[in-house]
Amino acid sequence: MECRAGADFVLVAHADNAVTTISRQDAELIFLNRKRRWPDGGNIAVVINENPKIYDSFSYTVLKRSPRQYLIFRKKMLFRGQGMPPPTVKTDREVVDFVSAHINGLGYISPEAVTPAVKVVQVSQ
Amino acid sequence: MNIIGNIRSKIWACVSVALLSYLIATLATTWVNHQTKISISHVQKADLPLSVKGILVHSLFNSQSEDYENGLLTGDAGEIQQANMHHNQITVLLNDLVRLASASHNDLYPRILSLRDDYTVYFTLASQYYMEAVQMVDIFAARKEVHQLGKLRAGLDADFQNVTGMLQEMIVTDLEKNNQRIDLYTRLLHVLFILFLIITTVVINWLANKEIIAPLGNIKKMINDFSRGRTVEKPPANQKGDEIHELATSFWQMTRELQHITVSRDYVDNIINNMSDSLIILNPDLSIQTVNHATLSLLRLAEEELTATPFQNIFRHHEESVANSLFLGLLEGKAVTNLEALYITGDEQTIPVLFSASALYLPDGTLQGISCLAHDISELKEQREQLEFLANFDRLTGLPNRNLFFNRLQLTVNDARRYGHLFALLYLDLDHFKPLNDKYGHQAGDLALQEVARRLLETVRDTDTVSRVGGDEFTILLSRVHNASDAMKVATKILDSIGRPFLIHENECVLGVSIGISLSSAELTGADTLMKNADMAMYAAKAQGRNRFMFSSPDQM
Repeated sequence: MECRAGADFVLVAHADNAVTTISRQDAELIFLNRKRRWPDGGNIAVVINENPKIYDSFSYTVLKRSPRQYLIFRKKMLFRGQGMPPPTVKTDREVVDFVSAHINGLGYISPEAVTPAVKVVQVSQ
Repeated sequence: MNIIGNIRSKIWACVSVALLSYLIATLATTWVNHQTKISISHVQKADLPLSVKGILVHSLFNSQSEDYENGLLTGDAGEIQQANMHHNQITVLLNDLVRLASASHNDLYPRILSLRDDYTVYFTLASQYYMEAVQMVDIFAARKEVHQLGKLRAGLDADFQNVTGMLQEMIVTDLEKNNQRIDLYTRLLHVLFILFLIITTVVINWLANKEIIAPLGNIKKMINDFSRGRTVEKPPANQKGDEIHELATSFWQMTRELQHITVSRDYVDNIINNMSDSLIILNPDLSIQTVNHATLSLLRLAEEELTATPFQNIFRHHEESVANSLFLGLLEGKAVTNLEALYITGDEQTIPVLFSASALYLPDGTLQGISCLAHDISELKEQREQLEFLANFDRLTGLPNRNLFFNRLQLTVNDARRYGHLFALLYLDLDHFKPLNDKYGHQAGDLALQEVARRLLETVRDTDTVSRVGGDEFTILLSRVHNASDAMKVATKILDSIGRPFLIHENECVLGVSIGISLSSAELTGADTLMKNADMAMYAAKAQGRNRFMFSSPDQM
C-alpha cells in the first residue's frame, strides 16, 4: 500500500482474502454501496468505523466527501429503502472482529490496530 | 280506398318520404351527439377528478415523505410532526378517490382501495418509527425497521405513481376512444346518409313513377294514340279516388264520345258526298266553304278551282244579279225552294237545275253559312220539251199540229176581236197523194210531205203559221191580211210552189193541192166555224176539179 505519508488509516480485509490492492475509486464505490462484489464473486460486507481519529480522514481521503455528507448519504439510503447501509462500529477493535469474522469483510482501522487476523489491503491511486 | 288518390296526396307522399329520411338522419345525428356527450361528460365527471385528486394525493404524499426525510436527516422532530399533519388531507383525498372510483365503476378501484389500505398501514408505522428514529442518538441502530419502512414507502410511491399515471392514461384512452367513436359514428353517419339518400331517391322515384309519372305517361300515350287516330285503350282499373286515373278515364270517355261524333260525321260526309244532288255550303261572306262530289262532277271543276271562284260565277251570266239579290234575301233568312236556275259549268255549258237554299245558323243564332242544294233537271227538261213538242208539233214535218194550230188560231181570233184586224185561214189538202203513197211507199210519202212542208214555209211570212192537221192536210194561218186578195196571192204562190215537180227517190212526181180559204169577218166568227168553213171550201175546190183554191163564202172572192 502506497498510502500517503502520514496516512492514519488502512483498509483491512479477511486474512484469507486474495485481494491485496484496491483502487481508490473502487474503494469509494464500495463504501457508497455501488460496488458490492469481490473479484471472486463474494458480497463485500462493509463496516463503517466511526472512530473519530480516522473517520474524517477516511471520509475525505477515500470518499472525497465530508463526514457529514457521508452520514447524510447513509441516512438517505436508509430512509429511502434503496439499500441497507453498512453496520456502524465505534472502535478499531470492533472492525477487526467484524472483518475477521466475515470472509468477505472490509473495513478501515488505524495502522497500529492491525492484527494478524486481518489483512491490510493497499489503496492505489 | 286509395289513400294517395289526389295529386296533392301523391306529392305529399313523396315529400313525406324525403322528410322522414331527413328526420331519421337528424335523429341519428342527435343520438351520436348524445353518445359523444355522455362519453365526454364521463371524462369530465369521473376520470378528470380521479386523475386530479390522484396527482394531488401523490404530491401530498411526496411532501410528507420529504418532511419525514428532512426530519430524519436533520433529526428535527418538528419535521416529523409536520409530515404527520399531511395525513388527514391524504386520507380525505384517498377516501374521495375510493368513493369516485367506486361510483364510476373504475377499473382501478381495487388498486386505489389497496393503495389506501397500504398507506394506512405505512402511516401507522411511519408516524411511530420515524419519531422514534429521530429521538434515537444513532438512527442506524434501528436501521432494519427504518429500511423496511423505506422500502414500503418506496413501493407506495411507485403505486401512487402508477395509479395517477394510469388515471391520466385513462383520460387519454377515454378521449381517444371517444375520438375513435366519433370517427366511427361519423363514418356510420356518412354511410347512413348515403344509404338514406339512395333509399329516399329510389323510394321517391318509385313512388313518383308509380303514382304520378306512369299514370301521366299513360295519359300521354292515350293522347298520342288518339292524335294518330288509333283506338285509345281503356285505362287499367284502379282504386277509386285516384285523380290521375280519373283524368285518364275522363279522357278515355271523351275519346269515345268524340269517336261517336266522328263516326256520325263521317257518315254524314258519306251521305253528302254520295248524294246525287249538288250541295254547296257558303260562308256568310258568300265564299264557298264546302262542296260535295256531285257538285264537282256536275260543274266539271276541281274542288280548288271551284272554291277559288266567287259563287255567283257559277250562275248563268244574266242570272248573276238575280243570284245576288237572292243571297241577300237568304242572308236575311228567306229560304229559296225549287227555283229553276241555270248553272254554268267549267266548260261553259249551261245546266238547268232546281235550286234550293237556306241559311244555316249556329245554336246561338249567328249565321254560319248558306247551304245550296241543286238538282240537275236537264234530262227532265229535255223530256218535258219532247213531250211538249209531241203534243204540239207534227213529228214528221216539225210543223205545229192541229192542237197547237188551233191554240194559235184561237189566240189570233182573240187578237182580231180586240184590235179589229183581218186574218185568213187556209185549209190545204194534197191532190193525188194517195196514189204516190201507194206507188212509192210510205217512206216516199213521208219525204213528199216533208218537202211540202218546207215549200209551204217558204211561201209564208214568219208571222204566219203553217201546220199539219192530218195525213195530207195542212192549214195555214195568215195572221194579218188586208183583204181577200192578200190571201189569194198567198194561195196562188202555194199552188205554184206545190205544183212544181217533186223528186222522190229519183222519181219525178207531180202533186197538186186544193185550198179552202176562210177570211175572218166583221161578225167575228169563232175558230171552229172558221175551220169548218175553210174545210168546206177546200172540198168545194176539190169538187171544182182540184189544184185550185176556193173561198168559203162566195162574197169573199
